Amino acid sequence: MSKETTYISQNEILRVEKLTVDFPGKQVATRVLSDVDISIRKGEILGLVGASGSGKSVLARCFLRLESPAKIISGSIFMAGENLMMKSQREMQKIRGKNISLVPQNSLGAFDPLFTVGNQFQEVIAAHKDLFFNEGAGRKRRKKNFREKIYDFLGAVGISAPQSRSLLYPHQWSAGMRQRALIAMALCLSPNVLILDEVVSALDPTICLHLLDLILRIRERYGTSILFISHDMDVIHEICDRVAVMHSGRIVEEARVREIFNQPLHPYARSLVSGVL
Amino acid sequence: MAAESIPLLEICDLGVQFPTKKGALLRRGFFYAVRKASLIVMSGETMCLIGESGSGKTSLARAILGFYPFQEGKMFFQGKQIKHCGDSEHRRLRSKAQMVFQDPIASLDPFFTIAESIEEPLIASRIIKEKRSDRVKELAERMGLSPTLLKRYPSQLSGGENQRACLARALATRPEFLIMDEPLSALDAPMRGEIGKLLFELREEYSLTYFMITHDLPSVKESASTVAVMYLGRIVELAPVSTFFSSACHPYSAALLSSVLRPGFWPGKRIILEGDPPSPMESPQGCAFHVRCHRKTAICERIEPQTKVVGTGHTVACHLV
Repeated sequence: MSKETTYISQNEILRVEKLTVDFPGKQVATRVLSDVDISIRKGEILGLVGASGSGKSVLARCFLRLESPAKIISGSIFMAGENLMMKSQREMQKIRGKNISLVPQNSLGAFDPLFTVGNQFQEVIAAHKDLFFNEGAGRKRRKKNFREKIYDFLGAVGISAPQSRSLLYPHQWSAGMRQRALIAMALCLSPNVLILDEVVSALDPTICLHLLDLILRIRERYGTSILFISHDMDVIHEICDRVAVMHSGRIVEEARVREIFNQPLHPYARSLVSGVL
Repeated sequence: MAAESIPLLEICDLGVQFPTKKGALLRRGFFYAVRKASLIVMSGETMCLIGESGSGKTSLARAILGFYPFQEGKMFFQGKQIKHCGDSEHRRLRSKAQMVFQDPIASLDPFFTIAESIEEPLIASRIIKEKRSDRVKELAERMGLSPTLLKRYPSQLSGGENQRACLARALATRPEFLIMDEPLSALDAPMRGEIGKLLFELREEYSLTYFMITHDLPSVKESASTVAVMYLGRIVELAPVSTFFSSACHPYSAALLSSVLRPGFWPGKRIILEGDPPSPMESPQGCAFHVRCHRKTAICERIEPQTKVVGTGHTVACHLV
């Protein structure tokens, strides 16, 4: 895992401007994010750190305009020259998965417990089947191809014997494998931006290392831009190119990893870094 | 403390078995969750047990306290043998040992206030009511819990405050031996530092012996005196802390050390273990680690390595040593 590779270029792939988000309440709304500006550049891994409750996951969901229970009050999200705020939820469904993918935090909660992992994977492909198959292919033929595609993707993230494993239910998988399967599901549509929400925080260190290695290899192979959300500064130091520090709903500092670890400017960033070194 | 030559706890070739869920009662098979585990805990020291999940760390800790019966091997508590789970010696151990669990919120009764939870072990040890409330207040104050929190329920407190309450409850009966199952892993980083410091202070103050299961190797380096590494039910390496961090012999220990992401902790190339640890129900032939080992040889696939002594208090189970 060399840190010297420079993937940073100036062209941005996703930019958020002045995003303000509230949790609507009965009497008063709670402000979760206020005036957040953040941009993800092409092919970089951007780390997003902050304490729990600082609004990291809400921001991640807002990138995909998954707004419940939060509500976007103002601001704009630009992707490839388009403002995603102008789109309807129906149009967003096409963009989710295809252009931006989110890997949620709780891997067991993210799967439906009543369906096998293979079936749920198939659902992803079926929802975007125009990306995979020509219109001409017969239905039966397609179903068989589904399976093969799934095995390929699961194999690519290092899951051995995907044929038998995909017939198991999510609770029968180990946590590390579930997390890898979720990443495979997010990757199968080859999105430009991948949002990873606390993917390694619940794992053993050895499994965590394996997963971080996988994430770096994904970036190398597909050139995906990754937003990596974590509260663990050690992990951020290991794989990210740039870091944005979030504190009570605001981005308080944004810098390259080396700069933030050597000379953090904001007091909160300083306290985070001093906890590590 | 150190003058005593008799160890507080000695374990020889301990084996803990669980039934596999398949088959009827008489045809039921068994697998080993802990196998041939041997270690010595001297009083006043901090023994840290590390390893991946599923390696049997919790099973070993629970077998020591008798939550799970042990089927093989021997245990000695202060020089006296515990013949089987739950005999009089084992009960004596249990009166002097307490456990702190991983998830503080789940291990406190949700229908008890914090004060009631801390008081409960005192009721069990038959202490009169007047003394009890004083003890609860004294303990809570020592743990840094403000008196207003005592009337609240676990769900109304933060994780760190709950963990303080768990510690107060564990120390209520003045134990000598504290077994902790990942006491810090459910807490966030600043809280981890505070509770870690509190644990350190308490060890000096109550002259406690710690047996700690943990994942956090940097904190092991600071606070432990002995490190035991477990893999698939076996203790593969046991060493004093300075020896462990300077010259760990087992390839699995090296992989664990290299997986610490803290900058500057592991200077060399990281060792990435492929795949998940195998299930103890289908333990591989030969050395259990050979499937993922990057230094395996032909002998590793056939013969299980014996535990060898390589230095003072340093034992390793590996063919390559």
